[in-house]
Formats: sequence, C-alpha cells, structure tokens
Amino acid sequence: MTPLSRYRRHLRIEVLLAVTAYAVALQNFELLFILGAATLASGYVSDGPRGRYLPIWATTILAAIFFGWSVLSFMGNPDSASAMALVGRLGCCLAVLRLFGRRSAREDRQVILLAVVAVVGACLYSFQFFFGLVVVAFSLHTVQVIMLNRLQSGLDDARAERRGLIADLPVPPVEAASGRSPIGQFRGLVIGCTVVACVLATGVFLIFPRKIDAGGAALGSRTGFTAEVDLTRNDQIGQSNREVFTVEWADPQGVPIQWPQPLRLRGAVLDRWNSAERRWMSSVGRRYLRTVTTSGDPDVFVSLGAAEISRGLYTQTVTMRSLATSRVFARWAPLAIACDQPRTFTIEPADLELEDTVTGELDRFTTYRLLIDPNPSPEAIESIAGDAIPPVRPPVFNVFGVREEAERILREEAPALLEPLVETGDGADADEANRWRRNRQIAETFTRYLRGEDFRYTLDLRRFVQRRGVDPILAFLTEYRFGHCEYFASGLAGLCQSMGIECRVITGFVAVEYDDAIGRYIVRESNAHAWVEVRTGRWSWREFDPTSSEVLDELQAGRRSWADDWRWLYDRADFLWTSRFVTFDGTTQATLADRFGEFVGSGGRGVLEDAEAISRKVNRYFQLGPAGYIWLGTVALAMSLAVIAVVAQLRRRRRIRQVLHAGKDLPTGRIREAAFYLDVLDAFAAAGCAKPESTPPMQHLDAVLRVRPDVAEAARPLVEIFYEVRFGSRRLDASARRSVADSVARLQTLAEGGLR
Amino acid sequence: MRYRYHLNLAGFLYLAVTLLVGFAATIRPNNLLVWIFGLLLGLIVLSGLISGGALFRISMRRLDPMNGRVDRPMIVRYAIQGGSRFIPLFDVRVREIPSAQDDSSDWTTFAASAFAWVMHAGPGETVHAEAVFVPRRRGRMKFNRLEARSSFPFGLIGKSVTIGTELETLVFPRTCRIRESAIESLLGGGIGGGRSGPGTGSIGEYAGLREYRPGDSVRSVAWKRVRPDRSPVVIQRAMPSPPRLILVVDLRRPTAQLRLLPGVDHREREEEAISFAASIAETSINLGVEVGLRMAGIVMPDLPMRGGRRHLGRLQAQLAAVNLDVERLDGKIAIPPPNVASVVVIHVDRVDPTLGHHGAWHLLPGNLAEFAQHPAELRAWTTVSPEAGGHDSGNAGAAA
Repeated sequence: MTPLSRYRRHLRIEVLLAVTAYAVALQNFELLFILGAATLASGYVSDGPRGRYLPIWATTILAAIFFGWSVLSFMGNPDSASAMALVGRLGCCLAVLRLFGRRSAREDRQVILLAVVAVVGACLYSFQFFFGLVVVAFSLHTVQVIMLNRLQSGLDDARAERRGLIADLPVPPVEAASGRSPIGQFRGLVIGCTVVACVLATGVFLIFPRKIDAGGAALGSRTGFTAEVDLTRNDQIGQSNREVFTVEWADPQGVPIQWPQPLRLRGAVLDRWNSAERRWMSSVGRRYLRTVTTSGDPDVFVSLGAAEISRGLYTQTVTMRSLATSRVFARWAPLAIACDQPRTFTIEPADLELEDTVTGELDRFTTYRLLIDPNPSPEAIESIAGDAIPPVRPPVFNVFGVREEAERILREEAPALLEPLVETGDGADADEANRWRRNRQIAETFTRYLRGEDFRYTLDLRRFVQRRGVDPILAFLTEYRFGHCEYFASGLAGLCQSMGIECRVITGFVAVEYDDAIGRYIVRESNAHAWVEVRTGRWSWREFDPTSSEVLDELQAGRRSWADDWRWLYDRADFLWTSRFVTFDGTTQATLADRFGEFVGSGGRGVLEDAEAISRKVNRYFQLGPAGYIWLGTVALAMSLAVIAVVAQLRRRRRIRQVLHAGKDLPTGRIREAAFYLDVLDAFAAAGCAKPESTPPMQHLDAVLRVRPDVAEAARPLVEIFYEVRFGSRRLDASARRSVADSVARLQTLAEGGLR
Repeated sequence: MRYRYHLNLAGFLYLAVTLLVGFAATIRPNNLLVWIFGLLLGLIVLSGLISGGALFRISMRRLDPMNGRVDRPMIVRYAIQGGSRFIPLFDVRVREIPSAQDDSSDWTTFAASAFAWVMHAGPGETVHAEAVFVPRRRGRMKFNRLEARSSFPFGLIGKSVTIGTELETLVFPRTCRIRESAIESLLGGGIGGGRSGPGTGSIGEYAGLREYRPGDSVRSVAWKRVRPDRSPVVIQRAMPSPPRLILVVDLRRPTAQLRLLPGVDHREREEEAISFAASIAETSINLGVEVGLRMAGIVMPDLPMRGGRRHLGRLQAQLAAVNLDVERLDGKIAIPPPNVASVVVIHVDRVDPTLGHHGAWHLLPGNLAEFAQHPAELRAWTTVSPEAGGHDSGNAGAAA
C-alpha cells in the first residue's frame, strides 16, 4: 500500500466538502443532496472496479449546460452581490462533473481549483459556525489532497516518459521506489504541514490590517438583540435557538419563581422616530450618566442611585452563556446591581439603561444580579433619576397620516377618549392624574387594536415593500398590517406619540421559557423582542406589548425541537466562533497588541495572574472551596506526569522496535520482554564500548572482552537470554524478568565503574 | 553539489490566486477569507522549506549499469538517500544531465531516457530507483552529471540538486537472430558432433594408443599393452570439440572512401556490418559454437575462439568499442587454417577475397536479410532492403 492508494477517495472527499460548504453558506440543500450523491456515486462509477467514464463530448455538453444555467441565472437577477454565488455553484457542478471523466493528475488539479473557487465564493455569504467548521476542514484537507496530487503527478509523468520510449523489447513499467513506511511518514508530514500552515495562517490572521469596529458589519445578517430599530430592513429575522443567557427570578424571600407574565428584559431605550432614516433613536442626552462599580462579590449589591433599597424586591440573576454584549438586561425597574467580577457599569438615569462601557463585554462566565422593583414608587425612580428625567412634554412625531389613523382607531374603539379632558376642579394633581389615566387608556386601546385579528405577526417581511415617500410605520398601520415585534412596537409608539403621549420603544429579550428543573428562564436569540413603555406618571412608565403573550408562546413552542437539548455544546462553540473569530476587528487587534505588550513588559507575570484568575473561576464554577486549589494543582501535576510517562513509554517502545528491527508482526509482549536489551546497550555505551549497529551482539561481546572484561562477563548471560527471547521461543515469567532486571542493574553499575 | 530553486507555472498561478484572495479579504471585511489568505501564504513558505529541507544533503549514487544494447531498454539504477534527519523525501525525480562540454560520447547523443522516480525515502533511508534508457547507437556512452529534483509538497517551488559523477558504459550493437541453417552453412561441417582432439584421460571414446609421455595420468596407462621396448603406452581418447568460427570484420577502408552507391550512408553501412558480425557471434555462441574475433583495419586485440556467455559479452564489448573515427590500417591479420576453424569475413562495401583463407565466407551487410530468421525485423534498421539483398552484395559464398 502506498499513500496513493486512497488518492481518489480523498479527492472525492475534497469535492464533497466544497459542495457542503457551498450548500451550508447559501442554504441550498437541494444542491447538496444532488451533487453530494453524484460525488459519492462517482466513487463506484468512475473509480470503481469497472471504471466507466463519461465521454469527452458528454462532459463538454454538460459543462456548457452548467455554464449556460449560471449565465441565465445571473441575467434573471443581475445583482453583483449574487455573482460569486453563481460562480461558486458553477464551480461545484464542474468539479463534480469532472469526477466522472477520465483524468490524470493534471485534470485533478482543475478539480481542486474548482473546489477552492466554490468555497472562496461561499465565504462571502456566511459566517455561521458550522460553515466555518466545514471551511476549516476543507482547507486543511486540501493540504493533504495537494500533496497526494503531487505524488500522482510524479507517477503519471514517470509513466508518460516511459511510454514515450520505443524499443525492440517492452520497456519495464514504473515501480514506485519507496522506503519502509511511506504511509506513516506521509501522514506525519501531512499533519506537520497542516499544523504549521494553521499556525502561519493564524499569525497572518492576527496581524492582517482591518478596520476599527468592523465586527458588526462583518456579520452581515441579523439574529437576536439589536440596540436599534431600523425599519428600512425588511429581511427575514433569523430563528436561532442559541441560548444567550439564563435568568433566575427570585421573590423577595429568595425563592426562584415563574413570573405570571413574560419577563421583559430591557436592553436599549429608543424614544425618537427619525422619519428620514426610518429608525428609532435615543434622544436622551448623556449629560447625566452615572457609573457604579461592583466589587466582584455577587452577593454585594451596589445601589443605582435609589436612596433606600427596601426588602420587598425581586432578584434577577442573569448568567451569560453565548452573548457578548456590553448591555445589562434588566426588567423594569432595576434599583441595585451586583456582579461576580469587578466591573464598572454606566447607568442612564432617565430611562435606567445599564451598560458596561468601561471594562468590556460581558462574556460567558459573567453573572450579574439585579434588585428589581416591578412596581417602583415614584420616589424610588425620582431618587435614581433626579434631574435626568426631562419634564413632561408632548413628543414630536411628524409622520403625516398616523394621527388620523390614531383618531380613527379611537373613534371606532373608544370614542370617549377623543373628547377633551374636563378639569375636575380638584386641583392640578387630580387633573394630572386624569391625564395620565387617559394616556394609559389610549395606550391600552391601541394595544388592543394591534393585537386584533386585522394584524398578523410574522418574521418574513419580503412582501413588505419599502417605498420612497411612504413612512413604514404608516404603511404598517394602514396597508400591510403584518410584521414582527419591531413593527408592532413602532406602530404602537407612533400612534401614542402622534396623540401627544410620551412613550419609548424598548428592545431587549422576553423570557418565556421556564425550566422547572433548574428554576430558571432560558433566553435564546429568538427571544429578542421589542415593546413599548408609555409614561403614565411623572415618574412612572408602564409596559405595553402589542405582541400578545399567546403569540409569543406559540412562537416559542414552534421553535423548540429535540435538538435543543443538545444545543448547549454547539452554542458554546458557536459563541466562541462568533465572538473570537467572525467579529475580530481592528479594535480587537489593538487590544491584543496592548495585552501582548503588557505581557512582554511584565516579563510573564501576567501569565501567572491569568492562571490564578482562571483557577479561581474554575474553582468557583465547580464550587470546590478553598481546598479546590490544592485539588486543581494535584490534578494538573498528575496530568503532567502522566503525559511525560506516556511520551517516555512511547519513545522507549519506538526505540525498542528500531533496535530490534521488529516489525508489527512481533507482539508487544515479546517486545516488552526483550526491552532489557536496550539497557544492556546503554551499559555498553556507558562503558565506552558502544555497539555498532552492524555488529551482532555476540561478536560485539568479544570486542568488549578485550576492553572491559568485567562488563563483558556480566553482559554475556544477558545477551544469551536476549537471543533466546528475541529469536527463540523462550518466554520470561515474572521471576525471570526480575532476575534479568537485577542483572541489568548490576551491569549498569559495573559499566559506570561502581563495582570492580 | 549545486542547489537551485525553480518557480514553475503552477507557482505563478498560485501566487495570483493568493493575491486575489488577499485583495478580496481587504476590500470586504471577511475574516474567513483572511484566514484562507494566511493559509495560502503559509503554504508558500512551507513549500520552500520542505522541498529545500528534504533535498538538503541528499546523497545520490549511480549504481554501475549493465551494458546496454541498441534499441533495447537499458536500466540504470540509482541509490538515493535522504540527508535530512526529520523530513522524508517524496516525489523526487532523478535524471541524467547532459555534459557541460561538447562530448560526442555523452549519453544524450546515444539515447532517449526516462527519469527515475522516487516516491518516498524516509529520513536516512536509502532507496533504489530505476531510469530507463533506449540507446540508438552503439559505442561508449558516458554519464556525467546527476540531478535530483522535487517540488513536493505543493508544486509551487521546486528545488534541484546536481552532482557530478561520471560513469562510462558500453552500448552493444544491435543484433538479430540468424537462421540456424545459415550458421550450419557457415561452419561447413555442421554444428552437431565435433572434432576429436588428442588427449588422454578417462573421458571420451577410445581413439588409439600412443607412447607414454611424462605428465600423462597413470590411470590412462594401458597395462595390458606393452611396447617391445617395454615402455608403457597410454590410451588416447577422443574428446568432443565444438565447432569453431573466426569472425573477421573488414574495416580497412576509411569511411569516406567506401565504395557505395550514392545516397547510402557510409557510417550506417559500417554499423550494419558490425551488427551483422555481432548477430552471427550471438547466434553461434548460443548454438554452442566457439567464436573468435579479428578486426581488420583497426588496432584491437584479437579475441580467441571461445564459447559461453561471458565470451559473448567480450565479443559484443569488443564490437561495441570499435571506434570508426580512428585511422584505418591495412595490415595483415592472422587467420587459422580451415581445419582449425571456419572463417567468416564481413566486408562493408566490396568483397576482398584476399582476406581470409580459401574456404572463408565473404559477406556483406546486404546478406543479412538472407541470414536473418525474421527478415521483416530488418526494415527498421538496415539501409538495404531485405528483398533485394542489396545492390552491392558480394558473393555470399566461399571464395573460389
């Protein structure tokens, strides 16, 4: 067997990987089934025992058909963004077609090139973890295939040259001259090349110049939470079930409970509609930003500004799983915060937005806890917000047609709310209370209206056509009447603001799925949500969600599948992939460079500190306590010793086989019994009489006898036993092995000059 | 030992693809493309390192080839040992390189070749690979320099190592099988049987008695027979003696002065004469005839009449070593009498009956067609058509 025995198979695997990568990137699984099946079939049809190939005219015609198909596809939708996708598809088809033709190593290089083109084209359309996995596998496999192709090319060239010779007698065929273990050494070389190529690729990856903060742009698609509501994009929202964090909701007694309504966890607060850009923005200035710093003890809460933190508060504990964000997701209204790491959080007092803009993104192992008051008193909010909350004033909402629509709705649903407020005469406070109450009623009316049958919740907005001059909120309310939560929230907020009611759009997550086993809510990417908060008092805001809970429950149930129980492993890897690789940008590069500089400058002290921090994290994760460090150290030491022992044992075994010229036919047991001979050789070397490889052992003893007769006499019985064991049928039992070991020890001592 | 690096077309194409991928990764923020670009760059570096490291201090040795023969594959073996301690050799092509000087005996003037291919050689391992040559003419073929080349693992950057190691080998002349009846005719007495020669000993048929001579074996003494003077007598036995043939190749006339028809290549005709002699020698020895060789016109040692494959090799080597460019001499050569051996003289252009004894056969290259067992095979390498027997074929028989 030679490395070329499996060359054809590896070539088919290469094409299969390319087709898989393309199909995963472009979500075109029909192509995967067809081309994948064809690729596998080529193994039997073309490379099988009968070896049937397509004639040249057939491959030419099929290639022309594929090319024409790609051209027609492009002409049907002449979009430069999809051109590379068509090129990739053509590459896949041609590569598979080539597998059915008669080919040499040169044609195989074309197959490899087509596969590479297909994968490179697919890279422009996806960043998913599974796709990345396939691309990496393809790239590393290509290294092996190219090396095999070189060998095949050498064989083909040698054969071609021989065939070119004309003689009276037949020219002898090419015989592949090879050494003892070509397959093993080829594999070793492949692995070595792959590892080195990976290292070099990673090095180039780290230093390649990039734009600052291009990570978000690099993603190119939307799933999960976004800190903005942009209604210009009518693409389809992703349905990722990746677990982003878990939430424990505990009552004032600290008992985890399930809240009667879905928990809406606030991320971003947007209160101004920019009709020119068609997105919601935050109009609140950043003059009143305040920072709080946690100690790193998750049980020590730091107040967000409330004068007094009462006892009757709920505790929300968030454990991040696979979302790297600087935002803190908290239910209304957070009054205090604690974190398992020393962090500095920034709070916007006007809307209680919490963010960690100082320390960095909250990654996997971070847990933060918040004290929540679901019904905060005005005094509590006032003490936090202070002057940050602007005075009550009607919002500005300049979208023509929305107010008319709002009035129409109120006329149909609650005409009484259209009537102007009448002063009660009980004072300004009473009038103000009436005003707030009416605002609330109007908001409830609009919410009820949007939850009605006229409106349909959907994530697919491809039929929602954006037109110039037509505001998307108006189009949603009057024309299309379907959309996802952002449209519903925008519609509600637009209706309220058009009626002069202060409100704001909130984006975040809604926790619906409660796991009784662990007493926590599981929040997934698909739980990203948008709703509205309406000002119902000077210091009061109330949630209004035009997406009904039933709809949310239905969506949640529809997304669940059996695979979700195993997603925890995939989610971890997916998170690492997205946060460490896909979104690696200039900012990350600069951070890495700074850390490297610090590491070099600190002379490696940082390594110890990091090791200490990691061990502390692991200790806490497994809840080992103070003795856990000793346990960890013991485990690390044991593992190191085990690795050293295994390596030493493997090296010794390899040396034994080399010295004894033993092939794989010799059982390991016999090898082990003859292993003492190595020590005898070492003793000879120590005595200054190293045995040459070409000299038989007995003959060498005679040479040793002339120089060191004492060593020769001690070694003679050992050499005789070696002959019997290695070439005879003698087996050494335990006592014999002990005796031999003792003799070897004596010989070694003698050789080193210990005994005379 | 001389090292060189080579860039080939595949390498340039690869560079172009790498630059394109790098450009695409630059204009569009795509970390996967960046990683692939890094991988492509890394492969370039690896290609140079591995091909260079593998061939570093490679050891190549040409094993003495067996003599070749015109139009027959000639195997030349090489022993290749990798010099690197860690990197095995893969896809190494070992090839002979033409001599730097203008040398008429360089192998390129003789043969078409196919390189020796080494698929694998482990670190420090020695493997043997074969190259095939098909010589087109006879003579002394000289090998000068040896080159090992490899572009493994990725075919981007190739490296070659050249060493100078000279070797000379002989290419025997082309031969064809002669009809057995033709050889019988040449021998006159036929191939079977043999001639008795005087000798004692216990082997052989009774051939008479003779007086004892010192040195005769005691066992051969015929004790029952005594001479009148009471001196012992010994039994003489007849021992088989194979037929003998002396080949004489008449090369006295210089090439340019050969008397041939216009359009006939003089040098080729001389080669055909040599091939004719070699063919007769080969077939005769295979039939058990003892053959000797005389070269008329060129100073070369005479080869005695012997049999066996070793002697055949000597004969063919002698014929292969004939240098037709040297000055021709018109000296006499020693020819044994007819009772000792048959004589066959092969002339180049015209028969000269004075060469050889009265019973000698005088042949021309054109007679080969009559002698060959398969005349159709001669079409490829003779200038004389087999049907005509040659315009200037001489007497295919003994001189009067």
